Parts: sequence; structure tokens; C-alpha cells
Amino acid sequence: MSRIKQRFFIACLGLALAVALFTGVFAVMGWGSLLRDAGSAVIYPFQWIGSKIGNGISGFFSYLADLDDLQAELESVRAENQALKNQLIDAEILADENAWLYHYLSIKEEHGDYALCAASVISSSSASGEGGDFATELTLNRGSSSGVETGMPVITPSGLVGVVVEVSLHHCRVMTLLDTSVSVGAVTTRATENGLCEGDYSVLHMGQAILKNLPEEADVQVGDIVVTSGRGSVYPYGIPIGRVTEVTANAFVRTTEAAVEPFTDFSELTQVVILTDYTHYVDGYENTQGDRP
Amino acid sequence: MNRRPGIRYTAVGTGRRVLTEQIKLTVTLALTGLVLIGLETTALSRVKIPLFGWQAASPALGLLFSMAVGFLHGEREGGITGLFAGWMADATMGDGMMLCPLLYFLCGYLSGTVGKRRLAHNLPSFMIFSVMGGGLRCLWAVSAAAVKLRGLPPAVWIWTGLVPAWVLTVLFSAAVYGTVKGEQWLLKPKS
Repeated sequence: MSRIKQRFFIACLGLALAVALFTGVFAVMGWGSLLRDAGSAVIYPFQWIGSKIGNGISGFFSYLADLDDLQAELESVRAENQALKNQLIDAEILADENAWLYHYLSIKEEHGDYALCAASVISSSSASGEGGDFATELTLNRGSSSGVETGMPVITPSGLVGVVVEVSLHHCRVMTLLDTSVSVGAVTTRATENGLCEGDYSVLHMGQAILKNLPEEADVQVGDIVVTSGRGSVYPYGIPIGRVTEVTANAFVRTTEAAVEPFTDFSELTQVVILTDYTHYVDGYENTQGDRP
Repeated sequence: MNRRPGIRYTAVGTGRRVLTEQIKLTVTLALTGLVLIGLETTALSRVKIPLFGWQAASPALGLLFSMAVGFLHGEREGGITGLFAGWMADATMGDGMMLCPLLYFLCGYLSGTVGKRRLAHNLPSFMIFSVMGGGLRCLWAVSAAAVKLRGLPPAVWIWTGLVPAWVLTVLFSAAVYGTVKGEQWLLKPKS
């Protein structure tokens, strides 16, 4: 056994010396070492894995080393993010205001005779209905200090809203078209049938008003557009009110009635315009009698 | 049953089982050796010890592995593993003559013979080998690189390059010993 081990030792020692010697000789002669190249080929996959592990460990420790910096950067980014969010909210508000002012200007351009006073809705009383809550009464942020008086019409770019019924120094109260106490002189644009557009409990839940006092034989059809007639000296001529959705005959008083769906969305009113002055027309003709309130 | 004197009898299938176990052991040791040398030459070559300056040094895992195999499995296994590990180490880091196989073979073989006869088979005993083997490797590296390092003062080079490698080799000895010991336990035939 001992002899075998000696042989083994001598053989391995001889092999190691031979490898060293031949490799050295070949290296001196300028030939590459075949053994070294073969060893490199064997070890290469393991070196590749080791390199990946090393990179991972190195990255992890560099992450730990930079943790304080990262924390500070995170705080900074959070603060910046909050500031940007605030800016975004401001930008959205400004965009809304911009859109509103654009419509406001379009009213001014379309009706050069209108004196307008933009106002915001502070609060509203509404009636709940199928399509949501429909405002019947509004409180606006303009009052007598802004030149607002009772009886002044209130509009939006879409159409008529209502009329100012009460004014304080900095606020005013507006009854909308849907309220039963409001009555607006109205005319259909297709056949110029005159009537009164009033709020009515029978259609309030649908956010609609009723066009009443039409002659029995009046030519009114579903889809007709209704605008203010200018009669009554409160509302100027031609402000869009809405569209006829249903026509019914009232046999008792021998008149025709029509349900009108307003163009103004009374469920989402935030900005309106108060008409503080305008040239008064009746059915499209200038009223020279000067009976503007 | 008549048995002839002088002939060693074994149970049926024992030879095949022993061969299978030897193949398992060989494959496991070869793969472990390759992984350790792969780590030595890549991930662990960036290890830096502040005390010795910030120059990177790597522990001689191949050498430790050869000595651990010799220490735990025997001098033959240690010697062959040393030849193999030395070959791999030289293939990745050496230049000129391939002397690492000779050094690693001697270390692996001697750890087997000396460890078996003189020392207990435990970690503190192996640490003695790791200190000696690491030191020997450093001396080897000094002698091999003396020709190249003419510009740098040898003291600086030894302090910042060789001593850290030696310290790291000793520090990693427990891990390598544990690995080989664990493999030995896993491959031990369960009766």
C-alpha cells in the first residue's frame, strides 16, 4: 500500500513538473500553452457565473453605501412630485377658467350690445330627478357692488339660466328656468309661436320646463327650438332656452303645451353670466319704447 | 461456503455501488473546485481590506479546496484535486511556467498525509494548514513576481498585495472546510 502511494506521489509530482517544464519551454519558444488554453475553456462558464454574482454583490453593497443619498433624493423627488401635483391642479383650474372665459368672450362677440358680468355659483337649491339634481335656485358671488340688480337675466353660453330675484352687496339670488315662480316670454324659431316658458312640477323631475299659453292650433313640433321672445322686458330677444320634447293639447283651456328640455345643464352649473344691460328687441325688432327695466 | 485464503470477498453489487459513489464524489469535487476557482478569479478578486490599503486581493480558494479535500478525504484525492485546481488557477491567473499544479499538488497531498497522522480532523487543525498554505502561496507569488516588479518597492507590494491575500485565504478557510465537510456528509452512504 505504501509503495502504491509512493508511486502515486512520484507520478503526480512528475506530471506536475513535466507540465511546468513543457509549458515554460513552450512559453519561451513563443508558442501558446495548450494546457492553459484548455483550462481557460473549462473554467470560463464558472468565471462567467462568478462575475455575475460579483456584479450583483457589488451592486448591492453600492446600493447600501448610497442609501443615505437615495433617501435624500427620494425626499426631494417626493417634494417635487407634490409641487407638480399642486401645479397640475392649478393648471386644471386655469384650463376650466380659460374655457369659461373663451365662451364668455364668444357671447361678447356674438352680442356686442350685451353688458356682461361673469359670476360663480356659490350655492344652489335643487330638485332631485331622474337625470340628477336640477338647480332651481342659485346664489352667485356678485351683488350690487358689481352693478347687479333684480330682474337681470342670467345666462350661460348654452342658453338661458334664470333671473336675479334678490340682491345684496356681494351676492345675489337667482331663480332658474325650472323654478315654478319663473315665467319667460318664449317663441319657437321654426313657426314663431309665442308662449310662456315656466317651471312645472310635472316635468321638474326630468329637468324640463313647460311652454304654455300656445294657441290651440299652434304649429309646434317635437324638436323645435325655443328662444326668448323679448316680451315682458326682462329677457332680451333670442337667448336659446331649449328644445321641444313633447307636445300636448290642453282641452280645458283650449291651448297647446309643450315640454321643453333646456340647453343649459342645470345639474352642473358653476359659472354663469349676468346680463347687466342690453339693447331691447321684441320678436327681433328693436323696442324703441325703452321699457327695459 | 469455501473461501480461498488471500482473496477478498465482497457482497454482490458492492463494487458497483463503490464505483457509483466514487463517480459522485469525483463529479461533486470537480464542480465545487471549478465554482470556487471561478469565484476566486471573479467575484472575490475585488475584495478589499482597508487595513492594507484599498488594493484588491483574492483568497486562494483553489489551494484551500485542495488542502481541505486532502485533509478530509485523503492524500490521493488531495493530490489529484491539487493538480486539477492548480491547473485551473494557472490557466486563469498564471503566466510563464505552470507551477501552480506543482504547488497545489504538494499542499493537497501533504495536508492529507500530515493531517491523517499528526492532527485531529477538525477546523482548528485545518486552520493551521490554511495559514501555512496561504503563506507558502505568498512566498511563491513573491518569487514568481520578483522579476516583474522592479519599479515598486517590494515592501509596499508585499503589504498591499500579498499579505491581504494571505489574510483572506486564512479567513475563507472555514468556509471552504465547511463546504467540503458538508459534501462529505451528503455523499456519505446512508446505511
